[in-house]
Amino acid sequence: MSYRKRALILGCSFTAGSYTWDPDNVIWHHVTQSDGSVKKIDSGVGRERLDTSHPWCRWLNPQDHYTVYGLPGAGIIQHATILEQYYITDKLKDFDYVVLQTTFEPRLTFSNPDVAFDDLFEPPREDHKPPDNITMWLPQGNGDTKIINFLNAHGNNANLGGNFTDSKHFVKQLFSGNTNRNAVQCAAELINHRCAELKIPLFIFNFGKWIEENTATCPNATVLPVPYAWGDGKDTMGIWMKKKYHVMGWIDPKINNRADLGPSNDMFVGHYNIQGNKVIGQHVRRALEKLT
Amino acid sequence: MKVLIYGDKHSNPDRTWVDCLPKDNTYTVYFIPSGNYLNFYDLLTHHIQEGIIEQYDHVVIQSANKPNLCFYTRQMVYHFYRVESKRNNFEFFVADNKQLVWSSNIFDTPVGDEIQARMGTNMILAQKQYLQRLVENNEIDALMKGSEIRLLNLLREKSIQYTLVKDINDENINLRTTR
Repeated sequence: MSYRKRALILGCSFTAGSYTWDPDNVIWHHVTQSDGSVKKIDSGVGRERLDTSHPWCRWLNPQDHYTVYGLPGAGIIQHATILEQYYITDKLKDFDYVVLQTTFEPRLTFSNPDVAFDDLFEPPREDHKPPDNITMWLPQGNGDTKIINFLNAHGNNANLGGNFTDSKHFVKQLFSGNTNRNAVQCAAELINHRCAELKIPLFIFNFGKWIEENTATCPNATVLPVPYAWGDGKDTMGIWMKKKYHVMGWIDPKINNRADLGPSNDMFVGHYNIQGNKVIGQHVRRALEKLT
Repeated sequence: MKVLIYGDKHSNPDRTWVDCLPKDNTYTVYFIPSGNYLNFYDLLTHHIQEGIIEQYDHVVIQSANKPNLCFYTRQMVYHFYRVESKRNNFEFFVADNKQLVWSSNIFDTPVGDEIQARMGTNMILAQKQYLQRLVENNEIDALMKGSEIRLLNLLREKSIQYTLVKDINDENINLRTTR
């Protein structure tokens, strides 16, 4: 198959596909306690199901081919590592442009060094594949690859898989220094540098207004002139928190053991469904067609 | 020439790599024992903002930039203290460990014990091992490459003459010809 151009798209769960509400799908963490015992805690995610056949890039120009990494929980550090792997193996030059979907940063999600790069990712199931012009890569499904989550969660504090609930001051100090933001910016500089070196256009898809506060900057990149997908107001796509586009729902109090974190944890605010992704994809397509 | 050196533990006053530097210069050394380019970026940024960098003609960055994420508080750049030295044309300043939060394998050292006491924690082995994942992972090499690109970009952007010393056993360091 001959394509007009080939693109590398790097994103998080918002790029992995569309979602449907499923309150029974709770994702649990198994957390080691100070006494060495292991406690099962509600991770706060789940409650929705991913279908990888309808990511927002499905609505991009079908004449182009897209290699897409949709990585739930991952951020720009993961994206830089992927891009660097393409660079090292002399395959980055095969792309005509790169699109970077920003997410909630700083997000230090690291993977098991005992797992080879090629084994970190896998394609979707056969019955959940997107169209032929999209080669989708997702995190390897058995859960052994992701070894740490140092996320910007719970109001600018860190989530280390719940393993440090007895060391809150330490975690706060760990998170509030410059290092994790420095690490995120180093990842951005690497992406920026490699694309500039190979003269590959780099486009930033800024997913949300709130997200931008902590988004690392790529000096040579072009920010796509699209409204924000996440958030409300006149500079957004108008799909946020609208049932037609967005997955959300009340969490059953019987299984919600995050309720102590405040009322906002009673409602699960998830990802976009097929209709939401269609709106996103159409916006991005219009922007990319003017620039590529 | 006045030279500003940013270094890691190898730039403490007892180490001899600085002996191969030209004797006709004066040197101010800021060393961060577990630090690398990520931390030097913070310190360089602070020295630029405070106008300190303008007092120097040249910057030397000593570090192999080994994989590590060394977490300090944001106040670290304000907390360096002078270390005695017998070298005539050198003055040394070290980052205060009281600003250190975590570094690779730090909890196997007395500094780690001090951090735990300061933070009111008593971590079990599983927690210490969990934190090691911050540096033992597939992504750390990309971060180290990015940290070098970022630091060099800042030096170039500010037109600061610099020399990288990645190998302290290299006896042919030439501050005049290396950029």
